[in-house]
Amino acid sequence: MPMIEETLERIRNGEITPSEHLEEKIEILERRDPELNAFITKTLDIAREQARQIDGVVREGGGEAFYGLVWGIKDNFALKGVRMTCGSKMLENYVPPYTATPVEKILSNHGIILGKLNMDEFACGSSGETSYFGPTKNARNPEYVPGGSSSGAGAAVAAGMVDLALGSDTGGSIRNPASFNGVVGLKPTYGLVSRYGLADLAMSLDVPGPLAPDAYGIALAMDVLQGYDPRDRVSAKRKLPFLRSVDSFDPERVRIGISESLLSGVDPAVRRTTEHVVNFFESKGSEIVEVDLPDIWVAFPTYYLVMYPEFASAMQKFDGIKFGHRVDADTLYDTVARSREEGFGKEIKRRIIMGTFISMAKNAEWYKLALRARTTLLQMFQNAFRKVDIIVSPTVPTPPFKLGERVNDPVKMYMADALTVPANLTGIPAISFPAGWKDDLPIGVQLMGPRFTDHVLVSAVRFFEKEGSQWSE
Amino acid sequence: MVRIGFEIHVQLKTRSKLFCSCPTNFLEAEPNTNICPICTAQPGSKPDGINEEVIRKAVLVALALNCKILDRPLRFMRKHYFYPDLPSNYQRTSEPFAVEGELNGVRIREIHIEEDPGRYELREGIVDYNRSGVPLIEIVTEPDMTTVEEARDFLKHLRAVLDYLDVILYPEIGFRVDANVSIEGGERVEVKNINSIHGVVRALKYEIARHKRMLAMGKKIVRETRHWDEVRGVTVSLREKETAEDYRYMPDPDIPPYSIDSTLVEELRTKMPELPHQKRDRLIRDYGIDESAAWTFVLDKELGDLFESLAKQFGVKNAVAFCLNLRGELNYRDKYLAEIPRRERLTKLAELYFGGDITKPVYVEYLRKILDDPEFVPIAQEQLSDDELRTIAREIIAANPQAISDYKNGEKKAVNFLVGQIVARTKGRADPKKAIQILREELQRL
Amino acid sequence: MLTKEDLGHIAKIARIALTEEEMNELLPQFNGILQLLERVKQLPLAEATAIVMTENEGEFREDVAKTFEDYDLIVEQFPKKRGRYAEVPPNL
Repeated sequence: MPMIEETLERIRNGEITPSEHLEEKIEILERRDPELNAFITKTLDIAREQARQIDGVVREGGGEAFYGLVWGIKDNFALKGVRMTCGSKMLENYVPPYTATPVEKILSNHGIILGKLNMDEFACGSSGETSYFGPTKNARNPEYVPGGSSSGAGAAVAAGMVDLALGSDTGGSIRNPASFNGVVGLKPTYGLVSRYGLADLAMSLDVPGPLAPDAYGIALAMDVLQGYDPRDRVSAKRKLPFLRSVDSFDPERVRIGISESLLSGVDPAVRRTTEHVVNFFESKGSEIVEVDLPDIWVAFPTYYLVMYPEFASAMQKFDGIKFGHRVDADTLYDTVARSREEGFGKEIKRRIIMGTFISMAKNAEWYKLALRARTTLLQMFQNAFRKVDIIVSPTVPTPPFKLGERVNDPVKMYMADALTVPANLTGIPAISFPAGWKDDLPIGVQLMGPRFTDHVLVSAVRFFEKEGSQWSE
Repeated sequence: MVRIGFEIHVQLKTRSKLFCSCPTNFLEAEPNTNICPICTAQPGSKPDGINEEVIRKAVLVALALNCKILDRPLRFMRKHYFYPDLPSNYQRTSEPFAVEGELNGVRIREIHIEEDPGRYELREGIVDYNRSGVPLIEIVTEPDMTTVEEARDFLKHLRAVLDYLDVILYPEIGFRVDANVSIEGGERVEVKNINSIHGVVRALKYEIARHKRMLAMGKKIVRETRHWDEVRGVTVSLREKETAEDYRYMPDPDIPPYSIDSTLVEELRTKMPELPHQKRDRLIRDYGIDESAAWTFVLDKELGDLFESLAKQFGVKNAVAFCLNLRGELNYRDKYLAEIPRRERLTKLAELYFGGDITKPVYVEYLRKILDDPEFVPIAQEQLSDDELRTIAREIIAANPQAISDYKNGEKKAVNFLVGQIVARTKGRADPKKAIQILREELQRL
Repeated sequence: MLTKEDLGHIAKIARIALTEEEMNELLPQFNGILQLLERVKQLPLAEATAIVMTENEGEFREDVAKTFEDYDLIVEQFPKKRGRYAEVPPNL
């Protein structure tokens, strides 16, 4: 997995043209994707055409900011004229009539798009096994799950098929596959990246974000992706100094927070890796502070209470009338009900039913419970951030598990999200980076910070990359 | 005792839709051309803020109805139900932004903003999304009306207010009404989707009679939603499938909260145009007409304006007569004057008639033609000279011996018959008064 | 806990024609998930507040009409069409 700075250097000094660089990626894709299944739709011809154009630009001394770096885009972002499936039979042949803002930004900054990446159906999953287009495999060991729901993104970056990937994170969907594939993945502060063109899952939780081999790649990507977009009215009017501050991390001026509640019930190797990271920062002069956060096994169901109703609402639009899978029947009712029955996979139907149930008027107490729990979490994190600047935790409670191991047990599957969902519920930034290995399977550690300190987290990871070491067992 | 309340939906006159910039001229546009990713709910699309003109017009209406504008941010909710004309299968509808108003003695409970769905033709099985996303305000009244007449008068007054504020997108559509009606001893029944004031009157009469019949038969009136069938003139119960909806209201996370600026409210208050009741008072004062005539003219804004201009040109008496006549013809056609194109033809007609260039029968004929045919232009009708009339009178007398003998036998009606013959023969080009005079002269000579 | 009848009712509202087999599989999972969600009650719960994730206050959009040029691409996606209309069965 070549580092981003290195690749940029090679292109900018003329050692390799963007087209030649693209061919390197295509070669890896053709060799490894038949097994990994990271891509749903490959756009090789479009990519080659883009590369040809960028060759000329780079020759003239231009090409900011990506200089022909190759991207994969999770298949729930719209790219006009290229099918967008969201990993579902429901949208198997759907072609969006417009392009998502983050994708437009990549294109207008000389990024090359190699294709649309595989994902858990409608981003509902954390293993990468629920795609209608078949499971993606872990790039480090194909017998294991790649994590999800940005499963193709994690695998493609780790395998070197792409330099960078655009994923989305609603409950951990960038960080989980980043952790399971041993790459870096950032879930930005809610609103920092426009969601226009990202098929909604849970509107108050969804965040687009990058996956990269290293922190530099994340910073490079975020400088382009961030910014207010009038087409997504809840996007933030903030610009953070990602690249500018990527080397400015000063461990002595940072208070690191840990909480036993974020480590309870976690796999021992994962716990040890996390402690290793904490020890690293302590050894560099950071103050380590114990903070009070709720037991993750109690708090994490809050995510589902909040997400299910929003998800059910987001899925209402799929009725086989305007787009998507259509089953013809005699009555309108049957047409809609059967189109949805056939077009959606099991997990989707499960979540829609749960979400519908919770949002029904007679179940108002569930809905109220969700609000109260979310408010509680917000307050507890706010209090914690009065005492610390960064909270460290594992990303996922376990290392990657084998394909097929959990797919029929939804509750067990949901538990993988326990450590990632708090950041979505509270809107704070969270980054996962490779920090350890167990039996050659990657273990990621997560850093969380107050809203709009995303760049600080990225610089902390950069610092660890430069001066830290990987835990191995 | 009968209790009637309304929920009135008005499409607001704006250039673009509520949540996107698509044009709002859905009646003229080709099907599915005023559409975009937002108003067709393409996955990944997000509402593009709120159209500022919608707020301006909505607040203007609320102020004209004497409502209190709430001092809290405007929030939109999602109201979920499946229907082909609703692309997201939820409707974005706001919380009330104005409350506690009044018009014509009827209390206004609240006003809120929502998006119109597209157009779904059930029997054809087709959907056009051009209308989807057009801005609506919904005006909810208390069930303060106790008679059908009261209800009709309220709606007429409301329609006039909306016309005077110039907030209605298509005058020929006007507004859509859902009516709630209950009688003593029965539950409240909602009758949905009535498209004209005339329709409301018919629907209410039908429904009240239906309730009375049911009570008389000892049957219970249950709380339900019914549909008004304009063609058959009956209300029909909506099947269970359609009404067993739980709307699962949820705040829309894609729309940030909006404040309605108090300076905007004050600006609109000062810019408020003359309202119907004010114009009525002014017409009485300035033209000396009676209250009933004034109110009749004022309820149709264009008619009121026409009255004033005709009064200045032809005098109050002529203007009153002309406008009452016009009002009658419009009523017959269930139209507002604003729906008649090229209204300058009416002024031309008044000129011709009051200038003596056309006779009364011709004026009546021309008036109807103007209302029914947008191409028709009234021109002066050449009138018959006395000599020509005399010749025709003699021909008619000669052709109708039976009528002459009736006349000689003292039958007054025979004269009318003969005059009618003359008018028919001259195709209205004879002034009836002149025709009678000349006929009598000829009859004398017999 | 939910019954199969409850599940059927919810499926109707959500317009999903679940099969008998699916309902049988879903019901225990559903009830299992409900039990999981109950855990949240163990948290020291704060008062419910409306959660607004954006700092932004709404900004109004100017009332200017603009035609979306690619409306034909939208029409192309209708699974069933009649001319320019989306087609659905002519009965509810």
